[in-house]
Amino acid sequence: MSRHILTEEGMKYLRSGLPEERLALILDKPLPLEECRKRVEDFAIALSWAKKKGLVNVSGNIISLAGRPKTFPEREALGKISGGGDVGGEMLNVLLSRNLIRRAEDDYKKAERQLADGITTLTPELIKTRLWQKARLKPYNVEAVGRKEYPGKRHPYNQFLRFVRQKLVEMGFREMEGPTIELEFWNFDALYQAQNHPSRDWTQTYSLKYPKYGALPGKEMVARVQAAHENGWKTGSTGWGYKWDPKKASQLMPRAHDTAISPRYLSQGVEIPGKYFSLVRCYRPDVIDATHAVEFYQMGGFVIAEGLSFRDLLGLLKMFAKDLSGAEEVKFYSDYYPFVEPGAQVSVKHPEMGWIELAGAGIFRPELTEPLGIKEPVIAWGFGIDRLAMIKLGINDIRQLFSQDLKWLREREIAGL
Amino acid sequence: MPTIEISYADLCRLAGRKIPVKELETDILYVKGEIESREGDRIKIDIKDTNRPDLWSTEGMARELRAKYGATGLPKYSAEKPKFSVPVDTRSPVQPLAACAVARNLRIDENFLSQIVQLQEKLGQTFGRNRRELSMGIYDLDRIMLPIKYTSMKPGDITFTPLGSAMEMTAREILSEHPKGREFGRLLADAKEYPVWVDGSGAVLSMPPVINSEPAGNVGGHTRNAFMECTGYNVKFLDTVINVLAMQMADRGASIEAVETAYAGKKILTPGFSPKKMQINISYINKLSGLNLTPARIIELLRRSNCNAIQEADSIVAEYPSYRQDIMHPVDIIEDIIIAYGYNRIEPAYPRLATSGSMLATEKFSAAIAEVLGGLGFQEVMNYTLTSNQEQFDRMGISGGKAVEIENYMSENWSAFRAWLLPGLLSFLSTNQHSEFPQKICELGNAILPDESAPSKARDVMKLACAITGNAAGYEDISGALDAAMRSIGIKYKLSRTTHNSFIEGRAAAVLMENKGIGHVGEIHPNVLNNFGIERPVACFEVDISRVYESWQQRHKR
Repeated sequence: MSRHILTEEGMKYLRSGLPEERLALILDKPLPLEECRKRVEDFAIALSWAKKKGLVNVSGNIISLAGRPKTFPEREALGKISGGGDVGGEMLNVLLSRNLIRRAEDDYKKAERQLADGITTLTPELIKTRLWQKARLKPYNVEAVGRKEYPGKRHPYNQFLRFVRQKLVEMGFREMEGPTIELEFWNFDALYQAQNHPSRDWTQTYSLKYPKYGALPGKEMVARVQAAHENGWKTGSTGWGYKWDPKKASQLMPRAHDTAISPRYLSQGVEIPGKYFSLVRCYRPDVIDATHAVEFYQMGGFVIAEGLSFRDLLGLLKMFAKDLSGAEEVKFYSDYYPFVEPGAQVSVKHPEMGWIELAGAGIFRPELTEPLGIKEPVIAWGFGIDRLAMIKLGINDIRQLFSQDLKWLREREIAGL
Repeated sequence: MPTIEISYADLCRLAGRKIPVKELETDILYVKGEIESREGDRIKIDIKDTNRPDLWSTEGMARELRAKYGATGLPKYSAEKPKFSVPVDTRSPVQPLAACAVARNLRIDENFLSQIVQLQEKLGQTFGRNRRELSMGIYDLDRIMLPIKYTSMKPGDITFTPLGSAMEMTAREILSEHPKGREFGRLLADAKEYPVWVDGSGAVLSMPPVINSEPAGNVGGHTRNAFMECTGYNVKFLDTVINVLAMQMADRGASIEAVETAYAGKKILTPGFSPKKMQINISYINKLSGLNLTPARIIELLRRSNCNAIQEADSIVAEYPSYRQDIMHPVDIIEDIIIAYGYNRIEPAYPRLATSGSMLATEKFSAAIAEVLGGLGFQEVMNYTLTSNQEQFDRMGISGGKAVEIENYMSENWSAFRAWLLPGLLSFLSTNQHSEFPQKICELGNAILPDESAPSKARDVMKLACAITGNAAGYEDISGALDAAMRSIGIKYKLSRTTHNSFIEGRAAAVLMENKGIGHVGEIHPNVLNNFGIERPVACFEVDISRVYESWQQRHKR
């Protein structure tokens, strides 16, 4: 296998003869220099090599043949090399110095091999050696669908949650957080839900086997909450009228509603006016089916400012309903949560599904806010965000929000939020 | 929230008006209700308020609607003087207090009977917290020999025929064999003596909070006069329940007669219908509601809420019915005013407040990491934080793992909080054995760890876990991904050879940041793969992102 390949010039000379050869061919009789220049390509090279080789005589401006050579060894050598053969050292130097060949080395081998297979893939070797010229690049079925690729995508439910978060931030709400394992105190007592009372039964809750009891927060605040439960404290309320038990309040439970976070923030001091929200997982025992999960997200929060009224609450709910669900029509219902009065529920009209319950809301009771050190009205709400997510993501089984189906996750289009 | 089934025609009759269905859909809001379903004459209504037992019957809803339609003010109920007294001398710790009433001249039709049964059921279930706080009974007075008393007996001495049975049973038999006994028997578990209602002949009328007896407890079309009782711990609740039961009877035309309950040293007369009063500042009403109501309009709205009201200087004094034990503060009356006004007639206002919004810093951080993982081709998955110790420890080859555990779980699959994320990822992979390989998944989410130093004895830790599976998934693939993620957020870390039962010996490393362990990386042990039913190798890592965030934040502090 030759370790050299022809340059473009070399290939041309192999095809149509060396320049001096072509010059010799036309000199059947002496010719004027100007005529030779017109008839012979690369005339300068031809004359220079013809003189060097002693093929021609030049007198004045007339060129005549000195003797016709039988062969042109360079051309034979080019032929050999292009045919895959090799030539002797001296001739090699001549051809290299005339820039008619160059070293091919390994490229050649590779390209040769590739050529033999037919060119499907255009390789660096084929491009560099120009051997691609020797073959036709095979056409592809360009109309076929491309190979399956699976990009790393965010989970569609997380995408939705992020949309909700972003929306709330745009509306000027500050995000809150709280622990998953919560004291009953924050989940219930600080929200003015009486112990051993149906007010605590508006939802089923989990209790813990381990750990069982936590530490209550600051004594003074706890004492005010206790007084509010027992006799209304200084709020102008009768209170629930029972003996409040700190042990019960220190029991631990997984947070059953996002509202458990709000009294933590209210008791630690919030900006007034202030707008706050949380978007967290909550836990309630239930029999799991297409519409019931034991673990689910809620989006809730509060707005605090002097002079807020029930009308503001309705306005806020209406704005949420429109911005988050895209619904145009909203309807308000009376509703009951022990920690709000007045209480309300907002439903939105979905084009196919009809009226859908979106959120519960209300104005926090004074028995809740005042013991936490808050004098201004606080309007609060809690969204069951899962329902909205299901509508937005076009799924009808709540379990699919935490889908275990990789194919579904891979194939899903990015939610057009 | 109780769901009440009623007859539409019956409701209209009691409300004194033929209510068109369309209107009912709106008017039902006055009773904090929502129509759940309607089949012909039968309507199911969800009553939102668990603290308004007076609304949990056709009679109660009609009572509220009559006021709404007619602005009738305080409803007029009265009880005749008692004809007998009921001694209470129970030595049982279970439901030691009682309240009673008598209804005479009853005419019980089918609708009425179904409401009597349903109201008792809902009161016991919701208001009585499944009979834990209180329970009640209604008896055919003509089948009872006076005097009636509320007392207690040793379980071995109690024998009677439970309602709906043909045979006498002992208390023990009832608790072990009768469906009600099996359901509510635990409420008597610690009692040496059981509370019982007994009549003049010594017959047991009922054994609260479990079941009434035959034939006294059998109330129906034949019943002309009824005795009603409620037992529990809280006088306020008992009074409310006995009032609600008595009003139901009165609304159906019965006359109510008070009963004296005689404790050692004091006597109590029930039911009591004297109204209660509350004074509310007019400007407070308008401020809280956001409405601009005149005193006259407020008084009218209150009359539509079963209240009488008068103006006194800058205040309204509202007289509200005794059964409204839910009213504790002026805000409760204000809600009634707004409900009577109509929520959907109010023009919403939006509070225009200058506040600046912000997301949790950890949210932003995790979103940035999620973006890097997406670039590495990991599909994000989401798993529940509730799992089981079997999945997160046993299947992972780990013994002695400690997790936050649920006591009252309904399914063992959801009985503990995850202490780490990898078991969830393996579980995910096990359900996708027929999807295309290789599979690259990741999860960013909280683990919940027991922590004695935290006020709630547990803390949330944000973790990142990634897994790769396929015929050739190996250590280098996953350690490379870990490295890419850590480099992208500029976190310096080291890998240190370790042994871990979930990983193959010699193919596991601890991830160290500032010389402290923040996670693991390695190839999952084939034993674990078998436990999960996974058929291809899995390489994975999990790191504590909360800790990574703290370090990152330290470095980016000015």
